[in-house]
Amino acid sequence: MGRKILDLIRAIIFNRWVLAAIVVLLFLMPSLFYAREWCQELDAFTSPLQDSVCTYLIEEKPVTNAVLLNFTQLFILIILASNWNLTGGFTGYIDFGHAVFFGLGGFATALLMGSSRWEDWPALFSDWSFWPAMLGAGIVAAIFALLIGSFTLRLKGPYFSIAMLGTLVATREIVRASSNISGGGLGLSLPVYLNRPMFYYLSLVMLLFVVNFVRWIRSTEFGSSLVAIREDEVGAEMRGINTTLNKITVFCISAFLTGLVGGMWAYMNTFLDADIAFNQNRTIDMVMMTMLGGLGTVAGPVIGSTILYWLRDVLWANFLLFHQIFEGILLIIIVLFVPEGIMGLLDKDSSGTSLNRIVKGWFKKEPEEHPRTS
Amino acid sequence: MNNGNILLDVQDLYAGYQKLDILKGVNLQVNTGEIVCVIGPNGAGKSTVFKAVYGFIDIRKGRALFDGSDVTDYRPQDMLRAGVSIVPQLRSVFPQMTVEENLEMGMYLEKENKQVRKRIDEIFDLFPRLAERKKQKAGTMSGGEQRMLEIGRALMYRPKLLLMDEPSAGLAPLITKMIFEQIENLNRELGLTVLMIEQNARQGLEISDQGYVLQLGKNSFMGPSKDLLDNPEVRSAFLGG
Repeated sequence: MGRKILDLIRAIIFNRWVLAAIVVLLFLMPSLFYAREWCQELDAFTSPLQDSVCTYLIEEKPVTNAVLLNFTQLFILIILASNWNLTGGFTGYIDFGHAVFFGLGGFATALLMGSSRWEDWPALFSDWSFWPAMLGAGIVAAIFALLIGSFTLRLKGPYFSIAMLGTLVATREIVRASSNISGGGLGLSLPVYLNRPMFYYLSLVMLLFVVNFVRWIRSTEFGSSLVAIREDEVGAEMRGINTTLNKITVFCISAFLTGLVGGMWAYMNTFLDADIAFNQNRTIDMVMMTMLGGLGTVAGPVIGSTILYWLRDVLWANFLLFHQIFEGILLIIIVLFVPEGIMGLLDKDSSGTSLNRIVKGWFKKEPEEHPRTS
Repeated sequence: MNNGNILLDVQDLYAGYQKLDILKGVNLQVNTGEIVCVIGPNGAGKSTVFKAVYGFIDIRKGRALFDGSDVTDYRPQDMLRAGVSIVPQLRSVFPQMTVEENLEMGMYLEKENKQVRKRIDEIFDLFPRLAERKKQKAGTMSGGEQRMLEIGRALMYRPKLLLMDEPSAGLAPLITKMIFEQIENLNRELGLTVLMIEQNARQGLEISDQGYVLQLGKNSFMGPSKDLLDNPEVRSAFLGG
């Protein structure tokens, strides 16, 4: 019985027409926003239809700036979780410091757009327009990932996680301390550009790109090699996979995309300082949302982020004082009862995994340590 | 030892972990087209020989020649390109990946997708059992099927020499027999050269042409497997009298 319901849910969410309809609706949604603006500018309504529609739009405000902002934030979270899933879910390197690329992307965008408070900041890297600055943010994050990953990705299991957490905290402190460039506690202000529909569309397009990109990666041999590294790194090496190169490559790709999103976020936020840019809660969100949806699956981060974001809103609105307690309990429930996440429930054959399995893999013993008696 | 076509020649091999030398001068010769079996007690360094030859640990002294070229400093990828493939001792399939994906991983170095597809079909011809389960997650198959998949995956790159570390480990006697028959078949029909380590000394020697006994990191006996099976010392130490 339960199985049948799950199959039905799966059939509905993974139906390509349903997915296409959702995407079309998301693309059309801001049109209601524009329609309302258009209605407000009219002097008088000329037809009964126009009258009823415009009255509804103006009075009920179905799509406001706040709604668009909410969706934009959700899209950003989905993109971040999908990126995190490339290293954490596919490759099995649980990264507790991924927000470092987000923050670096934000600061790179701010500085490239000319927010530096330092007079000697090179003019060449100043006053860029947003698009090249966002691209620059991705590149800065990717280069940082290459430098830091060359060291940290040689570490296994918990050592990698802690090294990345350390990277996040250290980078935050270094950025805060270099107040000439980063503005220290004052932070940096970006050129103000308030256009919610633009950021909505930009994040939606990036979301579609990132999810399809992750799906494509998973279908290539490179993607399979990442899963192979997660399942058995030594075994993958025996099969001729250059594990170090592949790990660093995917780490840089993931960092690049995270940096892009960070850049967009900074421009949308118009202000950033070290604390909000390198917020470790963002990392925890990426991990939790991916785990809820299903580690190592393409759809997992999308489903997990959507549900958790919605749930957080509901909890926050109804139980302001306790909402974080509920979130904590939810995390415990996921780990204990749905370790493979929602995708694991829906699809028993998915190549997803659970945190429990990854952690067990860290402590897998080499055969020499347990000689069997003959 | 005949002077026929020597495929793998390991000369006076020293290797080990940290400060400890496990291998203290191992010599091995594998002729083309033969099955060679290495037996010996636990801790003799059987698996270490494979690790050293395959490039997982450094060779400290001595050298290894494969097909006439020096492979002493080769890393696993280089060994695979040279034509040596390995089936490790413990379950080594990627459990969350499908049978087909596991086989793809066996030919990771081949970039031409068509070649990989073709080779997968050939492996499915060799092991029809795997073809039935190609979309199944490898971790959900039985131990024998997983071992078959490991062998299939190791054959993907068309190796000249297959290293097998205890093909019978953890398998029921009946399945072990089947796997050994499979190895003999591959040897007879494809001319595959096999070097294997076997805990199950009698069965291992029965299907092999040459045998080596390792003790404390050194060769203690070697020769045609038939002779080893009849050798009273080997019998009493490893074959249960």
